[in-house]
Amino acid sequence: MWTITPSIIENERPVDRFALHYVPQTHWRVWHALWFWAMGIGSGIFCLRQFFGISGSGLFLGMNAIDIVGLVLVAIGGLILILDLGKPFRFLNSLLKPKKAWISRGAISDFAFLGIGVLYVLPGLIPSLPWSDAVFSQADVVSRIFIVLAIFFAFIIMIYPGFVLYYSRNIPFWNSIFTPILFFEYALTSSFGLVGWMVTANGEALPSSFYVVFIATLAITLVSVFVYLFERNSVQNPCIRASINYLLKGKASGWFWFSQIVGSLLPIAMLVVMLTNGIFPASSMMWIGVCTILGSFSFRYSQLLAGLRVSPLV
Amino acid sequence: MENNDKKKKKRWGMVIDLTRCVGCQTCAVGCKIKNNLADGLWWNRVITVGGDQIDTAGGTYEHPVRYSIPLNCQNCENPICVDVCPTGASYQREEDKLVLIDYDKCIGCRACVQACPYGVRIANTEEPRYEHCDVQLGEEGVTPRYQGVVEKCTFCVERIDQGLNPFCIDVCPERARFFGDLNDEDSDVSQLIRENPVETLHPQMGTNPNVYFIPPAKKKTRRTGLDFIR
Amino acid sequence: MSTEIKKFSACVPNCWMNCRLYAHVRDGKLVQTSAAPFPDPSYNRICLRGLSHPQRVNSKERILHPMKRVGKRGENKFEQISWDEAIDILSTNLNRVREKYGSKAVAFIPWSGSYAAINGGMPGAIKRFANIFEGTVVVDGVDFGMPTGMSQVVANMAGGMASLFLGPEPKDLSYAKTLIFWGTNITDSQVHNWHFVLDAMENGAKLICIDPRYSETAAKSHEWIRIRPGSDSVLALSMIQVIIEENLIDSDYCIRHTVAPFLVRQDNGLFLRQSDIDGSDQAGYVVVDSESGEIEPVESVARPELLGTFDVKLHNGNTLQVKTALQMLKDEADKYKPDEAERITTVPAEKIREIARIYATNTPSTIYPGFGIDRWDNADQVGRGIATLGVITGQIGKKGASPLGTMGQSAIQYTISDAVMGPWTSPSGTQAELLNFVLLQQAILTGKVDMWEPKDPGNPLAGPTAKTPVSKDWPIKGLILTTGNVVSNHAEQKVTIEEMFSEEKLDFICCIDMFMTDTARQADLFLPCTSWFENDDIVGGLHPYVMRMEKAIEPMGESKGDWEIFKLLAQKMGYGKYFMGEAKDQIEGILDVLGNLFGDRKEEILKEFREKGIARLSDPHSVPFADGVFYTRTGRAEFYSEGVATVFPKTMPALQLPVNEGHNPLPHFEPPAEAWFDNPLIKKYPLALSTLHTKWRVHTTFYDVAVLREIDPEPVVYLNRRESEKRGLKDGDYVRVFNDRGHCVVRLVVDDAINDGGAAIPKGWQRHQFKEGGYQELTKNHINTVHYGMSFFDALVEVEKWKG
Ligand SMILES: Nc1nc2c(c(=O)[nH]1)N[C@H]1C(S)=C(S)[C@@H](COP(=O)(O)OP(=O)(O)OC[C@H]3O[C@@H](n4cnc5c(=O)[nH]c(N)nc54)[C@H](O)[C@@H]3O)O[C@H]1N2
Ligand SMILES: Nc1nc2c(c(=O)[nH]1)N[C@H]1C(S)=C(S)[C@@H](COP(=O)(O)OP(=O)(O)OC[C@H]3O[C@@H](n4cnc5c(=O)[nH]c(N)nc54)[C@H](O)[C@@H]3O)O[C@H]1N2
Ligand code: SF4
Ligand code: SF4
Ligand code: SF4
Ligand code: SF4
Ligand code: SF4
Ligand SMILES: [Mo]
Repeated sequence: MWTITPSIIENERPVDRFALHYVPQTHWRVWHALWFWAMGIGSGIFCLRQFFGISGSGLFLGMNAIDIVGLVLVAIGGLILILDLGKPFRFLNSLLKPKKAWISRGAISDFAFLGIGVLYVLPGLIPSLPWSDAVFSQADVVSRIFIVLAIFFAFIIMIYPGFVLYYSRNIPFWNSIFTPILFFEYALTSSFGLVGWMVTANGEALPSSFYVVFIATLAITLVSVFVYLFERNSVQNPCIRASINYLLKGKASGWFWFSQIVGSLLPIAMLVVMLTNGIFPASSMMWIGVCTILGSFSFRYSQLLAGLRVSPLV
Repeated sequence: MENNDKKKKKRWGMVIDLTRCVGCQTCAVGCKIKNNLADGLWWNRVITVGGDQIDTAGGTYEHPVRYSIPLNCQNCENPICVDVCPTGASYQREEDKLVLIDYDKCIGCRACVQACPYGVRIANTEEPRYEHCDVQLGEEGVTPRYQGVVEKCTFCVERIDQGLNPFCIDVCPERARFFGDLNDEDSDVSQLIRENPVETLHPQMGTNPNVYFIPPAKKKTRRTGLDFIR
Repeated sequence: MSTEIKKFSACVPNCWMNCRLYAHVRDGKLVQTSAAPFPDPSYNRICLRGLSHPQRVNSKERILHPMKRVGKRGENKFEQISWDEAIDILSTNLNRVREKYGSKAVAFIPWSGSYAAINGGMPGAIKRFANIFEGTVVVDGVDFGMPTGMSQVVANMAGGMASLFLGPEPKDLSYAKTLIFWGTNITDSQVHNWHFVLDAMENGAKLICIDPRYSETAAKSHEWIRIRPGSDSVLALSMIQVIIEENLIDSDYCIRHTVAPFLVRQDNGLFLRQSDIDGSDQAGYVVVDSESGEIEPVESVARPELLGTFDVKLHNGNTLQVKTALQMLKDEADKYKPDEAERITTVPAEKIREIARIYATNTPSTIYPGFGIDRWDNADQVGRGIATLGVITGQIGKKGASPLGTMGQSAIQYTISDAVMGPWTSPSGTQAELLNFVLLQQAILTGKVDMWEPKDPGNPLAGPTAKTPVSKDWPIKGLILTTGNVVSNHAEQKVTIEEMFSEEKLDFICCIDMFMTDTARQADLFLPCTSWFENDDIVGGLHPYVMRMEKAIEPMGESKGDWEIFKLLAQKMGYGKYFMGEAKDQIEGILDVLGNLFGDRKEEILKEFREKGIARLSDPHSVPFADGVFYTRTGRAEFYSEGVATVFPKTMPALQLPVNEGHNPLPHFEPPAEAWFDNPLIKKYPLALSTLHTKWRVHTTFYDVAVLREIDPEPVVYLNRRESEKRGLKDGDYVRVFNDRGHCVVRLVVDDAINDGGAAIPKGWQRHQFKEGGYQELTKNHINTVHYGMSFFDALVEVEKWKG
């Protein structure tokens, strides 16, 4: 019944809501990108430390620095999330509907991760506690339970914003299974970057498997982004088309191309060179860290920016 | 008095006849004043389908096209706004599945705003402003507006609970809006839906809206002059 | 517990709808409005503006105290004063002007802002005061062109709504099989009549819209005829041509109820009479019997010739050529056969034939004439053409058939009539003089006006004293303005502000309003009036019902109803005895006179009114012109007349300009005064500007209501894509619309609904709402000496990018 293709407008006046347009969503912008990003890295580095059994990243008040940074980032992310609510003091209400709502699942995971994580690292500060803060392979049963649970919740933290976007049916650009996948991937790329940076800065070495998986993750992420765009484009929906245009050529394109070139391509290239040479200078790892961390932020931000609201009709 | 046999639950719905609707915005303005919506916020908008601006024509110079479509909450059977709500502030009322918001529970996360495919939810991000006048306007029994929560058309719940029509139904000068129980086969809305090639918005989204539209110039039957007001 | 009360009120701006409303009041404040029931629920109604009243009434912009100008006139600097001081100033000024120039030099200017009978402007307390004072009342002047032309055909009444009041009631639309919306956008401007149209449509009626612009009405119609603006009389003539040519006329109707068979003398244009033939004193009309070929009195011939040119022997032995009136019409119409009409109107010839056929055969058919065809210098000719279409096809006087619009059977024709309101408006027996709005500019600027002068004031049919209007002294030195926004709505705004309202020309200006309108800003004295919810009153609608308006809230601030204001002034000036009691106390007296018009039904009507606060006046079963008798000299529909009806105040029937002095009584075509393709000015100013009546406002009423302005935030001009691109303009640009008379700066909206060579600005904005200027600077105060209507759309402009 509808015969028109709405045009895109940037600054919507109230009267513009009385005609058909595609308008970039305004609710979730830079603060959301920040909390997605902070939580992604925070939970990601916690997991990486366990997977690669890393213990050489330095201590903070006797506790493992990676874990602490991870917990702090997740906490910061949570705080941003809460402050961005219309009614921040009611944030506990957000825990009420894990059966259906991904925000509830995520919020519960945030709290659980923080709680368990804190318990897990605490022996560094209070050695008398009856469990250890060692990595999984060296940990006791209690810590192992903590680690498994924390990783479980960390995983949810990494993907749940993706599902929140996925179910935002007003923004069909996000409505792809690649959205949560990309959230996971970008959490990992930036986490690899940060872990690599922290460990090498601390003068320690990382197993070469770390670098191989790092490169693979970056490469898979890079490919996934374009598979995602391809997949979205294949849904014959003018709003999605408009979003893709907006991402590749429009106002979001700077952030997007930055995330792909600086956030993915450049680190891949540097890592490949380093891997062939077999040396991993701390300064290069710092740059790779910075690039992947910024890249993971700017991709999320560009994806949010390119979230054009579907018109009620087309 | 309650009926003794197990009466079917009510399922409130609207039929909006775009053949009749002239885009006069009466239903939109009526909704806004009746619910005392703050400056800039609308629960019901009548959207021009045509050119880029309100009340302009699209198509070509020789064959212009233009019609209007009123848009309020579609009171979905399968409300995705309720699914995504982390607090239960958005809910479907027990007795009739009416989609409502408990403003005292809502945390203003806007997940529902982003989820509703029809863009009818509005985040009251600022302190509600009423720059034009100091008087609290609107109908008695309407919940007050406040900052930080998300709002939407309530299907005029306080009116339908009194057996009245939603306000926008009663003010439409063209009698283009119809309201009633879709589970009652004899209701005007059920009959209209049976008799006409009705459509719903974004059916592919699986929300099952309870607001049906008779597309422009597709009206098949005569049904008019519902002159309800009391 | 409910603290809310609901009162019956009515919404009474000049939008023609006059809805009955509930005023919802809490804590003494108007908090909501809603539709209140009519006895016939199909008249239940409210609109977006009516729903916005709570914001308008409680608006922070509203002025609630009397104010005195302190800066220069028009500078918009005012100082609050007391009512005592205000009335003092006003009476002093009235006395001063009266002493110096005579009482006629004070012009009382009500316009159309309120239909309420007592506090409003038609007739209202202002007229009562003006009559006592014997000043000048400024009247007429808008909506006069097209109806004046129609009046000539169906009823010799001068102008305005007169002929329209002889149409059917709005509900009648639902019985039509063909509906032609001619230059009207009723989905915006008469939104409550559209559902009757929809009823007709759902019963199979065909809707046709004639408009240069793809209006909402056009979008909803089956056929949209995009016509060149100002060329409508050609289309009407061409349709007439097709209908006569293809013999689609209703011959019986023509024979019995129109002048069609009458014979028109080719020497002087008068109808041939019995006396011309036999020298008797029989002034009866004669026709040619189609059977015998003889000339016989019209009453005695069953089948007269409808067409033909004949030579007749006069009693003095001379032979004279005569033609039937229908032949006269045909000859005129033959100039505009569809192919020729296509050249002028741009409407394809085949379309013209098609709609002519539909109109004449898919009956009953109704023409809904609008005011897009009225605001032209040649509007009267369109009016004649449309009425003629109706009568030659017999599409009048039956259910669902009328070319006269839908104001018939309306209650307001009684509540503004002299028969009902005369006694109330002139309690002292004295009368003010009536001056046409179109002549106000002349009167103020020159102290003189050019007006027709009837030869015999008792017999307007005798025509005027001279072939042209004669100059009369009519100095105007002081103005009292109510219920209107003259500076905003009168053509040629720059002249209005810079010359008419200048300190040299006018000694004092008093404006009574709720808001600081364009007019109020030019005033020396501003008096705050109440809203419609703050008084008791009665009002007759442009529907069949007279309604009571209950006072729902107390007057806000220091505002007062017009009755109270003029009462204060009257007391001050020694006319207190004519202003006794409150507004409420006037109602019974008015009702009593009103009731008298309805004979037997009086008690029934008054009882209903007293019980329900609403009563239907006209008989729901009667159809105007059902008997085929027209209020003309011949008693028949006169598409050809011996005189051309013109507008002269208070003449009944209309003052007639004799055909034998060269006035053309037939529907014919003359190009518009300005906006026409072969006017050389079009090179400089290629766009014809319509200033549309929009749903966002009623004229300027509601000009600053927040809820409406959210959807219509600022003044705009509409241009189509081609015209915009030609000028390098983009949607959203600020543009300057200008001509030699003035300019305004507005936002551009690109809209392919607009015709090439056209531009449209929805009307009603105040000057301070523009970046610069105002649209009314662009219009011209054309003085048409037949219809005296303002030809707002007959204006050429150009649009360019604003360098501001
Ligand atoms: N909401 C609202 N309603 C109103 C009013 C109001 O201000 N606001 N005003 C009331 C009053 S007093 C009046 S007079 C009426 C007027 O109401 P309408 O008769 O509807 O008058 P307009 O809106 O001025 O013009 C009607 C149409 O004429 C078209 N038009 C312009 N030029 C021509 C032409 O040369 N030929 C033809 N065929 N069409 C042309 C325009 O494009 C427009 O669509 O509305 C009344 N109703
Ligand atoms: N360019 C252009 N100009 C036009 C037209 C056009 O088409 N184009 N149309 C013309 C037509 S058709 C018309 S009818 C005129 C209408 O012109 P106006 O009769 O001037 O109509 P409004 O602008 O509605 O002005 C009404 C004013 O009366 C005030 N008012 C309301 N109620 C009361 C009351 O009870 N007491 C007092 N004292 N004041 C009250 C309102 O606040 C408002 O300011 O405009 C004409 N002007
Ligand atoms: S009030 Fe009726 S006609 Fe007007 S916009 Fe709403 S649905 Fe359409
Ligand atoms: S229209 Fe939107 S807000 Fe309303 S029920 Fe459906 S999804 Fe929820
Ligand atoms: S904004 Fe309120 S209603 Fe909407 S999803 Fe969040 S908590 Fe629920
Ligand atoms: S049902 Fe009530 S709340 Fe919903 S749009 Fe209509 S008037 Fe507004
Ligand atoms: S502005 Fe006119 S149509 Fe609207 S409510 Fe008032 S009278 Fe009725
Ligand atoms: Mo008018």
